[in-house]
Amino acid sequence: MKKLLKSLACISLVFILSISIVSATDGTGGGGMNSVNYIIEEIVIK
Amino acid sequence: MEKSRRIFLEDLEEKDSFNNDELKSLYENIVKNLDKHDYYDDRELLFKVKDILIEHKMMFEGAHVTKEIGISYYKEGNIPKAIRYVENATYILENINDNSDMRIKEALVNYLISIGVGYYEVLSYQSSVANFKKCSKLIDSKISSNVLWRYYHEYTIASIYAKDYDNAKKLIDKSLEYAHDNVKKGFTYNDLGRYYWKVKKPLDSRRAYDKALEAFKAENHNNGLALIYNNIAMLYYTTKKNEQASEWIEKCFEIFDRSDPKQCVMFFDTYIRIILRKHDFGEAVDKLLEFIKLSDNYSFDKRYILDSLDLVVDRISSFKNEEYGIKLKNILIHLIKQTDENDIEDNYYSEKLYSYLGRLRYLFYKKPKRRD
Repeated sequence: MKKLLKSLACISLVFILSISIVSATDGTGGGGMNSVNYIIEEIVIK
Repeated sequence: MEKSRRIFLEDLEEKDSFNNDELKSLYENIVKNLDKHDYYDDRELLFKVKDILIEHKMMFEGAHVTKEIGISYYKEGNIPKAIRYVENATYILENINDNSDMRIKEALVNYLISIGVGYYEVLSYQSSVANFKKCSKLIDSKISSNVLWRYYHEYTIASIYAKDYDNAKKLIDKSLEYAHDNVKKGFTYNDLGRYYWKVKKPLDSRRAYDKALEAFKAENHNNGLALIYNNIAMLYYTTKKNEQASEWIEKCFEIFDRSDPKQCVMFFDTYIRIILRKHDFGEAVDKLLEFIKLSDNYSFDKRYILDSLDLVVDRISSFKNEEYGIKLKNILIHLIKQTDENDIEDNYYSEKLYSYLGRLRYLFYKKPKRRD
């Protein structure tokens, strides 16, 4: 019984470890919070 | 430069009052030279200037410097703190309560866009969309086309992340109206390509990416071109056309900027994904090593390599490839040795390395031979 439980635990551990999140890496082209990629912010001074 | 900066800060601390001209030139000096004098690395100075400006009721200028404090956090990768400061900057602007001043309105729109971008970068898509919705109430035709385009483009990205594809399509149509130069056109057609890809129309997606390529080629915009090569590779990868996927990611690797960690993360990840599909574990490990070397050469934050590392560890473990599993274990041990021991308890990067190592040790553990 102990052996069976042990091997079940091992199988489930391997199963958990082999799950991973696969996300596709398409580039958004986002400019970031400071938008330096494509816009030079105009600084207007009073 | 360091000396002049220190003198600048000491001068500020010694002075009790400032006249209007002094305040204006102080603000001008700071905001115009943010990058030039590494002021972003010098938050003490930014905080001091912000306090002085707000104390003297220069709220618009104070808000601007507060926003730049946020950007300084963004530049070092601390996005939650960056969001907090840009949000503070919007509160300051909102309290000025002058709707007739276009300058305030436009700045407010810009800050709200930045907050929206920050939220989608930390994967809080609903908060991001909520910010863009708040922003939409301020949008009118008097706002400059640069800012309007930025609004529609970034809102598109947030909507695609939030899987609101109908809204994304409407926003893309609007941003095309304001894309007055080739670079903006390139990014907008990239949005369109991504949209078609998400709604599973690969042919339309490819057509949009071709238009993006045309626009970026006209400007010799290498970063834009590399981005589109990567996205076309991903399009072929997801439609299981592996040969074409390899061909396009190779094009990307011919030109992309190795000093930009964000581009490295994206493109190495795509490359490794494509190689792993061919079960070429040797090349995947080689590419991973190339990325690690780049991160050493350009002193990247090591967290940037985690996505690629995760992919390789996952595949090699799933296929139980012992030869490369052991090679990977040695790479991990090398990376762990580089980490600062004092940092380990509170360090996401170190924790990840140890968890990968544990996984590989579990799978590729060999009992030592018993000596008789």
